[in-house]
Formats: sequence, C-alpha cells, structure tokens
Amino acid sequence: MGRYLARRLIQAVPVLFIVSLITFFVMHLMPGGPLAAYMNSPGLTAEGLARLKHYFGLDRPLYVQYLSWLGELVKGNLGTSFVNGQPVLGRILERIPATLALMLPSFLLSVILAVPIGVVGAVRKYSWIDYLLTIFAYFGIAMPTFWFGIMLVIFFAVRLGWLPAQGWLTPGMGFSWTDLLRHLILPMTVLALYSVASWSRYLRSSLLETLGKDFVRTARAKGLAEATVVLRHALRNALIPLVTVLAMDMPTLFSGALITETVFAWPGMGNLFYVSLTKRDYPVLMGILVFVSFLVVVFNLLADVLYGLLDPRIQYE
Amino acid sequence: MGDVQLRGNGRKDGQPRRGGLRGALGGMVLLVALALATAACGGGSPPATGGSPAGGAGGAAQGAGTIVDGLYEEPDLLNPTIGANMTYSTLVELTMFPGLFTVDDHGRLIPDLATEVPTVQNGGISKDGLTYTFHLRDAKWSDGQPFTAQDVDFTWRFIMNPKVAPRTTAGFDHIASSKMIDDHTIQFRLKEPFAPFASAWVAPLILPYHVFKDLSPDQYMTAAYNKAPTVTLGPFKFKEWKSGDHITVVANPDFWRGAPKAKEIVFKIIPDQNSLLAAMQSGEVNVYYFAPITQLAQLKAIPGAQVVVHPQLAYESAVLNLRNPILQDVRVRQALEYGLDRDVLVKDVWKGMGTTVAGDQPPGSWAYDPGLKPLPYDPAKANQLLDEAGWKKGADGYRYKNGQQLKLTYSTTAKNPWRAQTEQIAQAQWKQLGVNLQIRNYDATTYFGTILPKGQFDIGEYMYTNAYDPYFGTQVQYATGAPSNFGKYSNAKVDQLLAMQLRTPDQAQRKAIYAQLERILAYEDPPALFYYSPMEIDVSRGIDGYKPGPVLPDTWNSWEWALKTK
Repeated sequence: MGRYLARRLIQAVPVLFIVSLITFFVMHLMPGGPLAAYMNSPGLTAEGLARLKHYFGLDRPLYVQYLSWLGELVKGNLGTSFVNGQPVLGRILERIPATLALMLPSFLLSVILAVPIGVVGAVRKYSWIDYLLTIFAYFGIAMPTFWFGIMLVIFFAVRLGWLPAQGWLTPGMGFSWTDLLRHLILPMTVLALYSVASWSRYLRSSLLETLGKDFVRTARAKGLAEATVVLRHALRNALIPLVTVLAMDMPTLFSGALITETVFAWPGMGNLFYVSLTKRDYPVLMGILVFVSFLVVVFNLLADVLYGLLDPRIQYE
Repeated sequence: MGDVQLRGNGRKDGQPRRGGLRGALGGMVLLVALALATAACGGGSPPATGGSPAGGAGGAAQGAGTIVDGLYEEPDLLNPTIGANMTYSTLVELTMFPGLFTVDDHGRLIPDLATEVPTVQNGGISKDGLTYTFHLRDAKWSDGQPFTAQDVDFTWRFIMNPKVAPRTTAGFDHIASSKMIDDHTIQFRLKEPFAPFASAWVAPLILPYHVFKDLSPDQYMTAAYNKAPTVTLGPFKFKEWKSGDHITVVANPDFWRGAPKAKEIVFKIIPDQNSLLAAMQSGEVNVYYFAPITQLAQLKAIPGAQVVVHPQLAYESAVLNLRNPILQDVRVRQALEYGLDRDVLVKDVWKGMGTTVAGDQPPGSWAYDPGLKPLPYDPAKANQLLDEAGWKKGADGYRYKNGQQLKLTYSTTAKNPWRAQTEQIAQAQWKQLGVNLQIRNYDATTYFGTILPKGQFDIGEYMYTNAYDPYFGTQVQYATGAPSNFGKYSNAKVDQLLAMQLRTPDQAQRKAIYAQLERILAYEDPPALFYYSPMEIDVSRGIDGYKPGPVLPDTWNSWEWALKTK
C-alpha cells in the first residue's frame, strides 16, 4: 500500500508538468493581455507602455517566460500577481476560508440529500415519487446557475428582505455564525441543487444495476429484510461510481464555484479565478490551475483507496 | 487623474454554468472554454424585478455611521500611482489620498493640498510656462508626521523611478528639476512648456516620503504599503482589505478640512451589476456608482434612493482604421458620418440620456465648443461623396471600385446591449449607401489588448473617458504614433496644434487653439466617428452630501458624506 501510494505520487510529477506546459501556452494563446486595462487610459505614453511590458516580463519570448516560471515553481515559488504585485500563494491562501465556508457545507448537504434521494429513486423506480425526483433532477441540472442565483436573490433578498443578497459576512460586524449562515443559505442552495441532482442520478442508476445482480437475489432468497438487502448489500456496492464522482468534484471544494461566487460576491477562489481571467493575470491563473491539478491527483488517489475499503476484492500492487 | 474605460462594459453573466474545475486536463479545457465564454462576456440586460422592493430587512445592519459602497470591480492596489483598473481604484483611493488639486462636482480644478491653483497671473506659473511654484497647506499624515514639500517631491520621483511601472508618467516626465524652497513651497522647472502640468497633480496622488525612504527602489512595486496604505493624508484612513470581499476605511479625525461626517466607509465588492441592483433595492448598500442605463427605471423606483443623472467626461466613438486604403479616402469617412443618424443613437439607444458630439470633447470638458455641431444625417450627401470617391453601385446594391466591394468590419465589445443596437443601426443605414458592414465583436480584454492595438478592425467602437485636461485624451489617441492611436491616424496640423497649446499656459488661449483642432477632427480629417456623450447614473440611498461630478469618481468629497438620521 505504501509503495503503491509513493509510486502514484511520483507518477503525478510528469502529469503536473505536462498540464502546466499546456495550460501556460494555451493561456498565452488567448487574445488580449494584462495590458488591456491600460490601453485607453489618457495618461499612457509610449515609454510608459514599454516600461509596463518590461515590468511584467512580457517583452521576453514565450518559452523564456515559461522556463522562468517553471524555475521559480521548482523552488516552491508561484510568483507574484501581475495585478497587484503580491505573492500568488498568498492571494490563493487568503481565499481559502471563504471557499471552505461555502463549499464544505454545500458538499455535506448535497451528500446528505443525494444518497437518500438516489436510493428512493432506485427502490421505487417508475413510481410517481421516482418521476417527481427525476423532474427535480432535470430541473437542477438544466438550471443556469447565474439565472437561478439571481432569481433567488430577487425573491428572498429583494422582495421578502429575509436574506442578504451578497457577500459572506456583514462587513464591520465581526464574525458570527448566524451571520455566516444567513449569507450561506442562497449560494448553498444554488450549489446543492446541482450536486444533489447529478449525484442522486448517479446513485440511482448504479443502485438499479446492483439490485439486478445475483448476490442481491441471493440475499433476498435468504429471507433478509428488504431494508437490509438494499442498505447493507446493494448500496455499499453501488457507492463505488459515486465515490469516483465525489472525488472528482472534491477539488471544487478548493477551487470554488466560479459563477455562484460571482453572482453572490462570495470572496472565494472561483471569484479570484474569474477576476484573474478577465484581467489575464497569468501568474495567478497558473497558480490556481497548478493547485487544482495537484488536488485532482490527490483526490483521485484518495478515491482509489476508498474503493478498497468499499470492496475488499480490490487489491493494490 | 485618469479614468480607464473598461468600466462601462459591464462584464457579467453569460459564463458556462457552474465553474468548478474538474480534473487536471479538465481544468485546462475549462480554462479555454472560459476564455471563450468570457470572450462572449459583456452586457446582457438584467432581469426585470419590477414590483415594490422590500427595503430594510436585509438592510444595512452596520454600526452607526458606517456607509456601505457597492464596488463593481475590486481595485488592484491602493497606491494611486501604480496598477491599472483605475476607476474603481481611484474611487477608493480618493478617500485616503489627496492631490495638490482636486476636481469638484462642476468639473472645476480646485486647490486640495496646494493653497491655490497656479496661473501666470498669480505668479504660480512663469511667463515662459517653464516654472511652476506650488504653495502647500499645513496637514498631517495619519501617523502624526507633518506633510511637507518632501512628500510632493518624493511622489514624482517615485513615479519616474525606472523600477516602477506607473499608471501614468504624463506631466511628470516633463520635469527637469525640482526645488524645495521651504517645507511648504516647491518649485518645478520643466524641460519644455507643458500647459496641463498642474492637472497632473490631481487627487488621488501624494505618497508619504517617510514610509518609502528606507525601501530600495526594487521594493517599491511589491511594498506592503501598496495594498495596505496605513499612512495617508485624506479624510479617511485605511483599516482593512479582505480580498474579494471588502475594503474598509475609517474617519481620520485629523483631516485638514476637519473630521469627516461618516465614521467609516465599507467598500463592498460586488462584481455583478444585477447583484448590485439587488443590494441597492434591499438596502444593503448606500452607494452604487456608475449603474447601467438599463437599470435606471428600477433604481428610480427604490424608495428613498437619490438617483443622480449627470454628464460625464466620456464619449462614445468609433475609430476608423487608416491602415485600410478604403478608409484613407477622407470622402469615405465623411460619407459614413453623413450616412449615420446620431440623433437616433441618443434617442433610441440611450433613451435620450446623452448629447451628440462632433469631436473628442464632451460637454463636461472645459475645451468643449457648443458651436461645433455634429455633421447632420444626410444620406444624399453621403451618396454623393461615395460617388466622387469612385465607388459605384453594383447590381446587388453594394458599391464597387476596381472590382472590390465596399466592405468594412465593425468591431466592439461583445454582448453589450447598447453597442449591439448601434451596430444594427449602422449596418442598416450604411447598407442604403451601398456599404457592406460585417460585425465582429470581442470580450473587452481581447478587444483592448489585441484587436485595437494590433489594428485588426476597420471601424472600432468604444467609450473613452478623458482626464480633467483635454490634452491627454486627444494626444494619446490622435497624435502621430501615440500608444492608443489605434487607427494609425496622422495629421500634421493636429500634431502642430497639440504642440502649440502645450506651450500656452493660459486656458482661454488654449481653448481657442482647441477649437481649431476640434474642427479638423470633426469635419476636415476625422480619425473617428464621434457619436455622443452618455449621461452617467450614480445612486445613493440613506446618505447626505452625495455629489458626483463629471471628472472624478463620486468619492471626491467623501468627507461630506453622512448617513441620514431617521
């Protein structure tokens, strides 16, 4: 097991390298650039523009820019933001509290809701309740986040005035759990709606397949209670595909939900990524992507380990 | 001083759903997808809310005396001499950083840290226009240190330091030498006359020498001060900046005009105009600067909201790319002007909230000449000019010359409702002249970062916001070889008049020179199609003393802002 983990982590190094190489060049292929914001400013002079280019290092060939970025990365330095001259790592880390405050509760809520919904859908397949849940799932998956988010804001914040329209804490009030909770409800609803809808669909189809398996028929033939058959025998086997999906979704915990955070002015990583993208703040974008790629590797590994716990037949060599 | 114009483009919405990054390669694919999606980013009209807003409950529950200002875009830095993103940085910086001068709500240059605006008459400017003397008032930095001529001297030296990438060097690059006559008097000797020199010192600007004196120039750009300016001179002091969330400034009791009326201002970052509207409706913010025209009716319907609609120092125009031989013929450019009904643009596209302009000086500018009328809508005249230029109508209704069709590409920022309407009107009206107009739009960063600077367009529409002094905008766009001269315009007379007014310190004389210059830009050799100057919409709710003006962002008089007592 230990050797397996070590090997997988070493394999991740070239993967991360290739990902960084491709993202770096694709990113610089995007038209526009960090100097766009200066381009129609009344005080711009030709020398001023040249100084900015030189300061950002944009006057060097692209491969030189990449190599110098990579050289710094090897030393553990993610560089400094074009936008504000601050270290990229610091800019990412300062967004983590707000990101976790939104994503962890949304994730937990989604799991708590998705599992029973998926089970009910599978056990009562083609019943009215299954159709109802199916309609709900289509609604959740098809709903555009920015539209649904703004509708919630208009109804609950503007019309009814029950909940705040944006932000994660009321500025100037100090931290309080109730304040955070009030701010959490709307964005959490938006995020959970999508996750619950998609995860419950995965679980429903996976459980349906499992319920048709021989070992389930055997369990039923032994006279076990239906609840035991479903929950102890079938569900455990049906969870494996869901674990994969959850592990793939876990990095969003850290990278944030771009649209939701923008609509609700939630100061998390998704928000940072969006703003950095519109400003072409290459070092911050690279920093976030490297960070997320690393998390993907870690969570994939975690998912593999979890398979073993769920299904002892899975061995690690 | 400068306003950058990316602000009016209202980037929002239109992204792909749910932004989570999945998978290492997935993340990369998503990046590309996002690039394309933000490429399609822009306006999009907000959903109609209508009905009656239920103000209060979600309301401004802050401590007494706290004003909440909804900030559409997060500043990059809070050092007023560096970093882009100027409108919203300036908005916050104005509460902490005075200049030697500031601009009031009538667009007038007034003294700030200097005791008077220098003129030749009051001896502040020498007759040859080469020596400027600034007299400074008594003021204290927020750490108790006195403000002196040393701070003024350091500020321009910081900007001109080769290790610094400043917002603008304009004006400061003309300084030959400085002399601190005493603690409250500083004199600048210029290399050559530069009439807008005083206006280079407009707020927000002055940096504390005693904070930077121990740093090496290598540390200037990354100094912690740039993000947390703890020592300032303005009505408010820096308290905290929570990235992506808010910036808080608190009253400076030692401010030289007297303590401000509000206890603190929280700049709440809300990067979505629909969310800003909702926050205004629910009473969570007191101030919403620069709202889009599409929200005007909803903003007016908010009980207790003070909606200020006022002229701004900006104008919408479409630059003509003179790299294209078709547009090098001035008759074709004039035909496009005669063939487009600009009154319709103001009436229909801007609901009457704007003024048509003939040149690059909007009504809020001191160089504006009301006698300079835009060319009238006259399709017959336009057709005649195209005939003269040798473009003959073909069987398909389009004009041809030597077998080449009169085909032009019109570009601007994507998904912007008013620009999309403008394009449709131009396409329809010019089609009647026999012009085949192709529309190709881009996201703002692509448009300003690549399309315009590289000249990959024929006609490019955008909004330009002038600085207080008319020179900066004209020079940067229409002088030969200037960095934002996107159409490669070059007119010897324009260059000569620009140089001439720089050597003329007297404003009335400069205005006369400007009148000649504007006639060239408007009629004789237009570099662009000048459309209109749109009105600006700023909203406050529950505060007194809100007086937005045409030049500086609304916080120019933040010391007068006060929460209303019920």
